[in-house]
Amino acid sequence: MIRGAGRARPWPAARLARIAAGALLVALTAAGAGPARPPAGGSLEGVSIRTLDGERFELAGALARGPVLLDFWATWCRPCERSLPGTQALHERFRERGLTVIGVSVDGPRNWARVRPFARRLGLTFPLVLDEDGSLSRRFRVVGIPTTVLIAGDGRIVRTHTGWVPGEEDSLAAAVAALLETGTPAKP
Amino acid sequence: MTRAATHSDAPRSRARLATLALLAAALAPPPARGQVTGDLLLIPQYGERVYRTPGDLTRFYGRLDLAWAQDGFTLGGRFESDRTSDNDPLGGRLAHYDRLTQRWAAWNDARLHVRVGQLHTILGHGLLHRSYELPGVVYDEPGSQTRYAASRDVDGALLEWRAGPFAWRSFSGRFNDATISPAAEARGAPRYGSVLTGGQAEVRLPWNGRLGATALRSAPGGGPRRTFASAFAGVDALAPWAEHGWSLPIAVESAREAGHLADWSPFSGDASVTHALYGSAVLLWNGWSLAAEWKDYDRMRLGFNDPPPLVREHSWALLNRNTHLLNAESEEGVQWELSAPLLSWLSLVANWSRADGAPNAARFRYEERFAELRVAPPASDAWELRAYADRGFDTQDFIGDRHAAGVSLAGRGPHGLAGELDLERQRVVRATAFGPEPFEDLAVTLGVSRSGWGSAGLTLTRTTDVLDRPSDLFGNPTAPSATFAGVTLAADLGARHRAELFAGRRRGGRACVSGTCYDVPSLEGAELRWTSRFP
Repeated sequence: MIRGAGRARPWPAARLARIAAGALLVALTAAGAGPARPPAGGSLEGVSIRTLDGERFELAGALARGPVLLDFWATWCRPCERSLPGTQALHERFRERGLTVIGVSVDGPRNWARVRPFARRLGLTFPLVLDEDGSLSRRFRVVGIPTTVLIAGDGRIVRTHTGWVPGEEDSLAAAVAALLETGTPAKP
Repeated sequence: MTRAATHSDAPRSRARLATLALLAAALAPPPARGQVTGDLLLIPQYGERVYRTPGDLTRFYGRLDLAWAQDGFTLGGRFESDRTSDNDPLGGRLAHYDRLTQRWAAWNDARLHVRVGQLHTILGHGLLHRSYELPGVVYDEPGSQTRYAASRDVDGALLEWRAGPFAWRSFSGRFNDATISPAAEARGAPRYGSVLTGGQAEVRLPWNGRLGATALRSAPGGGPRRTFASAFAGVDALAPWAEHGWSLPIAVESAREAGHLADWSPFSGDASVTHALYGSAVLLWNGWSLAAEWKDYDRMRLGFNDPPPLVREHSWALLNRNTHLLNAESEEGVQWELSAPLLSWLSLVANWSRADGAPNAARFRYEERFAELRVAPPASDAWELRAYADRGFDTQDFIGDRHAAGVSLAGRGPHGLAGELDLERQRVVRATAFGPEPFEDLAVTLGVSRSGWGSAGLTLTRTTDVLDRPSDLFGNPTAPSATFAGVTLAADLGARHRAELFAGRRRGGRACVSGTCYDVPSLEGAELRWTSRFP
């Protein structure tokens, strides 16, 4: 039987459009509910992970000092490699004002041995962690890399961005600066 | 009405109810201090696999993840749906499904993590077990032509506890190796098979050291129980000299099947016992590094583990699709990698990997040499030039010889504008029963972007590979080469939505992400990938 011969019913286009429209409506409605969400700090209390230097990073402790920026990346990801110097620049620029930058490597066991050399080559000095079991990626709903997650001191996730094109570090820097100044993120 | 259709009605109704419940949860006012979060992924597709006619197939994949969190408690679920306009009883309507594919509850505090339902975890370096999800990846099963999330998970319970330098992890549940689609499950094929029960104890030591042991028992349906154990250790041998820029992290894990008490010794020399050995040492001095890794895997293709393959994962398009696939049934080898910032504007990465194996008495050898130079002005990101050369062979994949080279130029302009051009060429000799079969690949990628607006990319691939050329009914090629050209547009729509549109011809083949390789089918048509997150 020729595979294409079975395409008799014309339902897909209209039905798929309805499904897509419905799903989009749901997403847009939910997204349009506004940013006035209760803080999610409670759900972040248990986030604790060992850095490559052997120190334990407690997210709640870092948030007590100010905002936290998580940067999810991998050694095999070229956009990550090109975006990480910008993250390093944010670390150097805002560290004294209370920003904590954490690099989260999502490399699997295949690439663990290359994480430190990669970071050294790029001159990264902020703490790095291995997301060995993917728990951090799941918790912060990472659907691609690079992904940056900016968390306010009260635990609100104020900005999540996936992907990178040159120049986007400027908008991230503006969001961090606004958060440090007023406690609220800059409008995208 | 067919029998299959009758059987699918009840689960479909349940799935719809579950969906409505999840949507209602998403739209309902959140309770005090709680938060509802959601992620939506939609992939409508129009077209067909290359060379298939008629080319008017319509497909739709949708996925919704919802979670509700309050204090340390989280409740979540995932709903997936796949549709195709193909009514063929073999490859079409049987691929349809609407299912709640994941549901879980978790609780965290500073010391304890408990999770019930679908979970991902790892023991040691993954020699005995690793379950994971590839973020954003959707498998497209070639046989049934159904798509589903790339989640290799355990449906059971997980307990993690830590106190000071001590940590404990244990789990038990049924394992899903992500080879059975939810569509097949809807028709009676179980996605979850073997029952796995495992644990890991670990203690942190000075000098960034760690010492631990793991144990795992598998109980396949109807098969014999198998028990495995491993021990792992790690230390930074140059930790006292860290202030001077020196570091030498060393890691090792040895795993064995422990059918008898004597086999529990992880350093037992009995080669007749199923075993795996992994070791790594990385010497770092400021920006310089030299990494070495070893592996020796014997009958360790367990289906629920994921040992380090010691194969470089490339970001270059042509090299990525030629990644060697680990055969843990029988494989041993090494990998060396040098990273050298030669000058302030010039750096080098060189990699050499080699592996030998003899599964089923058929020997294979894989070898690859790779070098990449990066040139960029010091302390500036105005432009960057990369060039690589790669040579290797992989008799497991019948690749007798392979040369590849490429160059990439990226630059920034005013007003947030940027561009990147990649050129790659590869010459391959495939060893077949009828003699050597040479072919050549040429890949060009041109991308432009503007910060805050989005990006546009043009991908062009030309190949003389007989597997990708058009052919007649008898398999004889009807053209000397094949060209695949496509355009991708990507943009963020507000802070919560992102759209990526591909149109054109996409070459199928192997893709490797985060250490895992899978097949991507070819496409001639258009595909939209829409992601939304809320809040």
